[in-house]
Order: sequence, then C-alpha cells, then structure tokens
Amino acid sequence: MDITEERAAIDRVLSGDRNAFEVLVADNQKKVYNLALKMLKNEQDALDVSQEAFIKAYTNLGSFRADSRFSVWLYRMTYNLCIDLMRKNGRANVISLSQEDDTGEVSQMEIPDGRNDPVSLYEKKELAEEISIGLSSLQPDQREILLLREVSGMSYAEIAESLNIREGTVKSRIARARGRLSEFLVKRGTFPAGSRHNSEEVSDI
Amino acid sequence: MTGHEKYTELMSAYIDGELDASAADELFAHLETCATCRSLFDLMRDVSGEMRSDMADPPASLLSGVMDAVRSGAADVPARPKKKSHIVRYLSIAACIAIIVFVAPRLPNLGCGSKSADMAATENSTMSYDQKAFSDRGLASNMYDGAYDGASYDSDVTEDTAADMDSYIYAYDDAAPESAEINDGSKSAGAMTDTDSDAVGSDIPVSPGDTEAEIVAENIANGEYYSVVTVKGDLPDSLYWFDWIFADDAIYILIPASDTDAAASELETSPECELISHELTNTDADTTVIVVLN
Repeated sequence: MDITEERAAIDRVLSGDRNAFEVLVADNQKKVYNLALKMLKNEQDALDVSQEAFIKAYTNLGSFRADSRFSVWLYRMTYNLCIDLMRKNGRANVISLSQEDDTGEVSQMEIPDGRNDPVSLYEKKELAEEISIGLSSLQPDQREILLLREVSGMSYAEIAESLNIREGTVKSRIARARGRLSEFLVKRGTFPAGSRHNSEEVSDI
Repeated sequence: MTGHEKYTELMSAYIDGELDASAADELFAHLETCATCRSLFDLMRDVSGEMRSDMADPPASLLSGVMDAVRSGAADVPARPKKKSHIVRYLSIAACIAIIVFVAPRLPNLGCGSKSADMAATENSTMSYDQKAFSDRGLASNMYDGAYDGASYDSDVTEDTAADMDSYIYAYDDAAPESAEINDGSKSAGAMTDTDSDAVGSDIPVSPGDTEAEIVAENIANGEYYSVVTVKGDLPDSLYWFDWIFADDAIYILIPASDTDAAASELETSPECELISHELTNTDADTTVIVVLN
C-alpha cells in the first residue's frame, strides 16, 4: 500500500467508514505482530499487544499527521506497548553488555573457541533465540531502529523521514546496532570468536 | 571516524542495499585484505538474514479481533483532528502563566520537595477547565510532533562528537564505546521538545558511563527538568506515542514542557492511573519527565 492509498483509507475511517480500517490492519499486521513477537517472545502476548496497538491506533487516528507514515506511527505504539507489558510482567531486567561487564573483568571473559564450528551447525531456532536475547541488550534507540529496518524493511530515507533524523544518522545508528549485536553474539559464544577484532587492532585505533 | 567504524558502516549499508558502487568497491577491496572484517561481515549478514527470514504469520484472530472491536463500537470511534486555534494556544499559555502567577506565590517551596508538589497538584486541579481544553485539542495535536521531535536527538552535534570517539563496537573493554553512547543518551534524555532546536537538552550535564535511564535519573535528582510528574498504574493512550526510556524501577517519558499541564491533567483524570506527585523544578527547562513507577 502506498502512502496515497494509506491516506485515503485513513480519511475514509475518519469519515465514519469503520470497514476501511481493515485494509490498514491487513497491510501492517505481519510487521506489527513480528515486532511484538521479537520483543515479547510469546505468541499470545504478541497477539494481545498487536490487537491493542491497532485498536489504540484506530481510536487515536484523528491525531495522526498526514505527512508521516501510518506504519511507523503504529510501530512506535507497538514498541511502547511491548515495553509496558514487559514491565508489568516483571521482565524489566533485560540482559545488557554493561551488566555482564560488571560481573568481572571483561578482558578475562572467556569467549568459547568456536572457530571450527560453521554457523550452519547451530539450530536455526537457537540462533533466532540468541538474536532475540541480543536485541534486548541493545540501547533502546538502537534496538528500535534495527527492528524498524529488519522487520519493516523500510529504506534509510524512509526511516530518516519518519523519525525526523538525518539519513547519515540512520546509517550510523543501524551500523552501531549491528556491531553491538554481533559483539554480543560472539561474547555469548553463538558465533565464532574469530568474528571479533583482536585487541591489538583495537588499541591501534 | 576510525577505519573499523567506517567499514562497519559500509558493511551495514551494503547489507541494506544502501551502498553506492564506488563505496562497495572500497569495501570489498578492504575485505580482501582484512580477515576480521570478513568474519564480521559474514556474521552481520547471517544475523540480518535470520532476522528477515524469521517472520511468523500472524494468527487470523488478530485481524478478526481488531475488526470486531472496531465494528461493534467496542473501540472508541476516532475523532477528526482539530486544528489548534489561536484561542487554544492562548489558553494554554494563559494556563501556564496562571499556574506560575497564582500557584507559585502561594507555594514558596514550590519544586523543592514532594510535599509542595502534592499541593501544586491539588492547586492544578482548580485549573482543570483550561487544561482540559488544552488536553483535548492541544496535546492531541501536539503529541505526534513531540514524539518525532524527540526522535531527532541524533543531531549534528551528536554525530560529530561521536565521530571523534574511538571505535565503539569492538572495544567493549575500553572506555570509548561508553562515551560514544553517552552522546546518544544525553540527547535523547533531554531533547523532547516542541521546538526544532537540536541543541535542546545538550546543556544537561552527563557523567561518563551512564546509560540513558541513569542520565534521566541524574537529571531528575539535579532538578534539570521543567517538571517531574510521578505516576503509577496504566497510562492514557496519548503517552504511548512518545519515546520511552526503560529503567529497572520505572519508565521515563520525556515530553515538551509546554505539554506538562495537559499531560498532568490527563494523568490525574485517567481512571487507572494514580498521580503521585507533580513537581515544578526548573522553569527554564524545556523538557518535562513523566516517571511511571513499576
């Protein structure tokens, strides 16, 4: 659905045509649901949050600005609802790199030697789970932008326009998020340690 | 920007199909000679591929559930947006002035402790008519602006400063990555504003090593925000459109100072939300923080 069709559907809903909301749900439900699923890791919760996000979007449609994408507006709502639910369920303590760092000297942290294990040996499900844990470790702004990119498939220009930040910032923030996530996965032993730059190279910078 | 940072950005942009041909040539020339970057590139591609392919189909009950609520009227029917008139602008300014003029003189300790804040909250309830008018029209039309102005925290300032930092992703045993993060944190922790200024919040002091949530907590302790509104319970819908900062014991929501009264009024009248305190701390600041206790 392009932005013109999206806007037309919103106008019809605002004119009282309730059925017109269905195309907006149909068009966005997969991305909203997957965003929630990646955050909450639970199908029932993801379904509940997705429904709530759409219903809140419907009720608040009057305050939606015409010059923005409905989808991004919806993703922000979904994202906040997920955080809210995690908080209520007492899952507030996400794993973070800094917390792990507090448990001991980072330089002494053991990184399993997985050099000879090709990534394909890992079960796909396990990898998805590890990525999901890794996402929780990211700074919220990095996690949000990476999920927007990977789940919604928006271009840098679209993300920049939607979030009102410069395209260069989108590019660097996504790169930073990916770098952090990679770092986390290597630390967890999900990926071979060879994926990490060694300390000599870092100290040369 | 360091070499590692630069190539990480090139790899990331390539994965997203956002790299032009000459930059791609440069990237691949580098990958020929750098085994560690090659390895990282493979890893980033695997992770990205996994995230993109790992998309579940939503259950049919998602669409049917939403549309049932919409058609049955269980979900409130949306209202057409109302243009913010001069009258509403005037009323909102008048409400702010009224609070400062009428409330402040009667509360000599305003903003200095939770007791005076509770009293201020009580006083505020007498302003409910004007605030409600603002809440209905002003906040509703403002909230989206606020959410996205807030998202503009990665300004030139941030990026330029970050560019001066050392590598941020490989050196987790180094102070540099934390420093790079602080710049994001300080901006996002202070930049919620209804103006277009990139510099808003940049004067709020930051200590090295703090997370975004810690920066907000510190700013609250130091009275850096216009107002601190503390609540508990379920939030009204309008607050879901803003950036949320997730701490262990609370969620911080940063809103433009000009929306403070409308938000406080809405929180106060919200049935499932308990307004615990409302402290006016720094009238020069342009950001208000809403603290949602767990």
